[in-house]
Amino acid sequence: MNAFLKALSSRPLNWLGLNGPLTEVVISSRVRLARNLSGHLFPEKLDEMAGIDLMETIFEVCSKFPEYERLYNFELNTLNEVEKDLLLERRHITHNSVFSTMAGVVIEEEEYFSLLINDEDHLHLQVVRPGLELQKGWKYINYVDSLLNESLDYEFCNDRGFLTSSPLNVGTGMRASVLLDLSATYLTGQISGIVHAARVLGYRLHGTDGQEDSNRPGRYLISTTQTLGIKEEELLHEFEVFIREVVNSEFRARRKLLADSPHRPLNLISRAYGVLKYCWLLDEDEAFDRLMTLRFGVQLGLFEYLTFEMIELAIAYSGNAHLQQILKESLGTEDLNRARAMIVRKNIGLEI
Amino acid sequence: MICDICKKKKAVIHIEKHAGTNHTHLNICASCAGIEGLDPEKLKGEDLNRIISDIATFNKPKSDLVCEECGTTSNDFEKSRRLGCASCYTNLSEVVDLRDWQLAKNLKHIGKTPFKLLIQTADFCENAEDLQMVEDELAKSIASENYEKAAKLRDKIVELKKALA
Repeated sequence: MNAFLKALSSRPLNWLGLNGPLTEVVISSRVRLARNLSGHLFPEKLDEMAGIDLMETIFEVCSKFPEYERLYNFELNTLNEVEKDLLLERRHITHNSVFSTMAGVVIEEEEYFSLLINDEDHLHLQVVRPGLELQKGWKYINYVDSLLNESLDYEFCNDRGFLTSSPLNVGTGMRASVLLDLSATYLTGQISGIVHAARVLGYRLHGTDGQEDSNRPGRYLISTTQTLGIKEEELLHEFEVFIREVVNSEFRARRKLLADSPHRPLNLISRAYGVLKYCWLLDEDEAFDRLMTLRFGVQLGLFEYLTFEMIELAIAYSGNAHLQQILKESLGTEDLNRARAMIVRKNIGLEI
Repeated sequence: MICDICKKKKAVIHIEKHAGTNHTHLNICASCAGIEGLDPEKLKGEDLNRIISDIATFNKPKSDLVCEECGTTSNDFEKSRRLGCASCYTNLSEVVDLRDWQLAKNLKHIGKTPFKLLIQTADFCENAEDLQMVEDELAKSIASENYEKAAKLRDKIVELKKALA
């Protein structure tokens, strides 16, 4: 496996913030820009040769950047399944791009920035920061966008802004999202209030399984939808105001929960602890869910020895591709689930 | 209500179609629905089935819209929800109603404009802010050793300063 990718597989996940503003609730923030190059068909209609040509051109442009030494290019076609799954788990590529013959990705060394080529659009720039750092993320991604624009002309028209493959993105081409731990809000039955408020303001809220009515409650992704009729900075500012409100209400709910009904969170956390300590098989989704519940427990100060770092790493290693890389062999689902149970247990110091 | 098909007779059948966020209504009179002379109370399931399948053919655009630039058809778009090129926005404008995709009432882009296009607009550099922007770009290009660009920007700044004075 490529050296850089190998290094990635033993690192904590970039989208699971360790140190960042309000990281007690805001796990990470993400800003994404969609761009297409003028004079070329969109990836939907682009033929393979032209697509590969475009990808090479973009790689070339990136190699002239001031920080080019910190950038790593990959032509997805040249990667094997595990390598692609690794990038998927680390949120640098999408399911759609895994099977593409002309998709590529450029990843910055620290993984805060990545550029996906020929997925839904020619360029999807992405910045991921731990905690709530939307403005900082925007500043950086705006800078890279302008830098790319010096050598590449974008498809843009004055009325409709940046022209994207999906009409959902046309205009600013920007989507901002935050991943939140709203365990207390959930336990005190206030999630529907947040869902409603988000909808009224034009934001989408769903659980980590992509559903609004999540089977895996506690963690939620809230994202912006508006791309026309608003300036980027204004949208981000309003979004941040809303998120801060949600964060405050989560803090209040946590205090209330501990004061009035500590049984509920303690029950949830102790069960997560129990499952992780004794389970024989552990699947990806449940691993994430239980570990995040433990993280919540650490937030509430319930564990003496358990730290965020330990949980972070356990979550990283619980992904299938990360596991395969650690184990150095290709395993079937059940064997993977068995291995995951043991490795997660080991990483959080619960070896039986 | 008047029939949507012949636009003459009174509609007696009302159909609502819900597809995602898209809601369409269709009102049809008895003769267009092919049930002229039949008692509406006595309509059977098969009659309604037939009406609905007839409606489906009515509802399809007479000829599938095509974008000359890339070949994307309105059918393609309906399935994939993806456009094939920039020209699709104009060539397929009949099937891509941005109001279906964007929540905001204002559908004009007021966000970022690519720098090259920005400095070409007539009202650019009506103020010191725009001038500052060009000066920032100059600093950036010097930092990245893009001296050719820096020279062009410096000329631009001289021009703009004259205009502002």
